[in-house]
Amino acid sequence: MTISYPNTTNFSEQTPPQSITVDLVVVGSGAGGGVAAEILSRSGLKVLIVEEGPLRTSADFKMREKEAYADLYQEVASRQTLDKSIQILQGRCVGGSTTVNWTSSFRTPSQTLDYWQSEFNLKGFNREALDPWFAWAEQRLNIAPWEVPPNANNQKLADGLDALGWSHQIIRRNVNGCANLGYCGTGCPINAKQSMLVSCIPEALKNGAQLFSRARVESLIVNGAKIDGLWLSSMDKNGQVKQKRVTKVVAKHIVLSAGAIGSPAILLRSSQIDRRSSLGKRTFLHPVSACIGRMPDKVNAYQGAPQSVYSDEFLWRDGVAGELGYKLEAPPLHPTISAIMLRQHGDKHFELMKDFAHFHASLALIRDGFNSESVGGEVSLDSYGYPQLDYQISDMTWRALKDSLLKLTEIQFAAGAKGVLPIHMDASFYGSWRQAEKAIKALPTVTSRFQVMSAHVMGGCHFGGENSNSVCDSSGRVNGLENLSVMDGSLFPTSLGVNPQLSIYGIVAKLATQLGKELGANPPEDLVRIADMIS
Amino acid sequence: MKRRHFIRNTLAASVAALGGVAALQMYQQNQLDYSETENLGFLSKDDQVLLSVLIPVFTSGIPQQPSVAITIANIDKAIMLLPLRTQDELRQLLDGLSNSFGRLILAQVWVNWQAADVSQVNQFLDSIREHSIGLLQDAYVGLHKTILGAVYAEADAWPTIDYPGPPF
Ligand SMILES: Cc1cc2nc3c(=O)[nH]c(=O)nc-3n(C[C@H](O)[C@H](O)[C@H](O)COP(=O)(O)OP(=O)(O)OC[C@H]3O[C@@H](n4cnc5c(N)ncnc54)[C@H](O)[C@@H]3O)c2cc1C
Ligand code: SF4
Repeated sequence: MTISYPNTTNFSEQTPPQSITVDLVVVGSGAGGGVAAEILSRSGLKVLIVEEGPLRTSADFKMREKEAYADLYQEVASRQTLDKSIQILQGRCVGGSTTVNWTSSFRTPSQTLDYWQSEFNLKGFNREALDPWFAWAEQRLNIAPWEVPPNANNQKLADGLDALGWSHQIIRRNVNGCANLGYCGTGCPINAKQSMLVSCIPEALKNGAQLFSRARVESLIVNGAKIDGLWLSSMDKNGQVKQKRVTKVVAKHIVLSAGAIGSPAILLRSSQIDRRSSLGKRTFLHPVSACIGRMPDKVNAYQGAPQSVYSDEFLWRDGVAGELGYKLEAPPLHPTISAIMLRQHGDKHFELMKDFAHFHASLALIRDGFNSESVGGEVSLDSYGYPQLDYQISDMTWRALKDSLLKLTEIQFAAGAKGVLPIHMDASFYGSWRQAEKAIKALPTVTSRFQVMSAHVMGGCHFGGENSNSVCDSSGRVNGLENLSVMDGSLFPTSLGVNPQLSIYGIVAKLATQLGKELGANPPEDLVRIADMIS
Repeated sequence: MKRRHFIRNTLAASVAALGGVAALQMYQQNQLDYSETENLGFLSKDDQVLLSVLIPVFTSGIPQQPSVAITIANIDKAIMLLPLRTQDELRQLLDGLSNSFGRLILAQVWVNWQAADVSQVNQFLDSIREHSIGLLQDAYVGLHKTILGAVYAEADAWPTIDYPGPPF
């Protein structure tokens, strides 16, 4: 099935208009932007979607890391925190991170929603209020439990957990006709993954929305309590600014969905925006620790649905607000990512790489933000006006990272690993659980040695009720500005404890429907019914 | 202190560890051979010479040695896509390694890099990997990521690790 993308303008190759007037502009085309654009265009509004990355489709997706990282990821997949301690994966293309994500889909946990209510005074985001929105998103994006047996990499995680008597479940995925290829991270070549690229964005375009690709929102034009419009820069084929302020967009309402680093950056680049709130702060990452197990049989961790098994055995290990818990999953391995992760050179590096096919990888996602010691990072701008994230790993997070490495190692040995390598510059393959345990306990918890990763950036424009120092209110409106909303992962006041996409889809569906009604438009009936049923 | 100066001074201080006087003498005899370098977008001729020394060492374990020229071209293309702040940092790092002080460190192998002694460059990499100065550890990680990322992105490297490549 070919998908068409009418009404699109590529700012790196076509001449951008000097100005354009629309009802509503959505900035960013990822999880939040996609859902917002579909709902608001279906509401009858004239919508413009602005995306700084390129439009690439299944025909371009060759399942090769080289092209995918260059075309589809922020900073060639090598974005990192300011002190270089955490490697960050984020998408930068039409569809945003959903074009390259691994399809794992979870509703926001009740514990997280309750915490937001009690700590951030957030009203209307409890279990009953949100479940119908998640159900809508699940239907829209074909989210269902993965019925095919897990690939060997995920099966090892299940085997290890079973052997130790720890729980695990099957992951739900947003796919339709998935051929179990395993290349979700380089863009699904057969349009099976129901990313924004193949679902909500084409639907919005069909409903008359326009799409500008390789167009970056530079800043907002603030006029007192109102935004008059925004300035776009064109980007060249290297993703560098080609021309600043080429296009002025005038819109009645602006929705920021540029992701949890991009959205705060736009606000920070705009003058007259109130900076007394938590703007740019409370950026959370689900910091990830990872381990590689050398298995006697081939695992081929690049093959098959990348994620299908998870465990919440330790997610709430010390209650919601105690020591940070973590979720366990298995990530896919591909040659480049693996080569970079193994920080050796020469013979020592190849000595590791030669067993690539036998590698089983598992990871722990630390649930950051649920504690006064876990305050997250802060987005600021560099001298080029480009965002950077300062994230200091707290002692509490170090404890969780280390504790999780111990668990991952134990699980891998229980699954039959002949050796286990924690991803840390001072670690090596350990031959037994006892040996590994002793060594891991002695590993230094310092940024330059402990290799931490993240593919889940959240926060920076968090919503909340009164006295929560929030950037946005519970409708997603930026406080003090009538016609500016945020609808993406940057809304979250803490991390989630689950992979973020479904939380974003569901919450943005709610906010966009509400906004459509407020703007006097006609949101789709099925969505209005949910909104009316709940209020 | 400006970061660039810091890199330079730090590297100069490390020269002693590699036998300063001998290194200096050899460095003075040193003639760099630029004949294999290209006009690239980001990487200068000095950078390319430096990388052509480092790439074979980073990859020395791989049975099928990757093409240095292709690796350098790939690295250059990738750098052109990075944000300007990161490009500035890389420029400082590469300048630091290519300038007179940086070359001194590599001098013993640099005299005639085509006949370079892999074990000496290896030692240099070992030492910056474990260095007490964070900036040198960062330099190691930066070079590591840049070089090995580019090498394993190419299909030539895949058979050696039993990776068949994409299914179609
Ligand atoms: C490799 C990978 C695997 C993942 N796996 C999973 C998974 O299995 N399950 C899951 O739930 N989540 C997963 N995630 C995370 C999930 O995809 C993201 O959390 C989610 O897509 C975030 O949605 P968002 O709308 O906040 O931002 P994004 O989806 O990142 O979209 C933001 C978009 O805004 C654009 N943008 C930024 N600044 C500007 C600007 N100034 N002007 C114009 N455009 C701009 C960006 O280019 C980007 O396209 C994964 C992410 C990655 C990278
Ligand atoms: S695993 Fe399925 S969804 Fe992912 S890339 Fe392959 S076919 Fe597409």
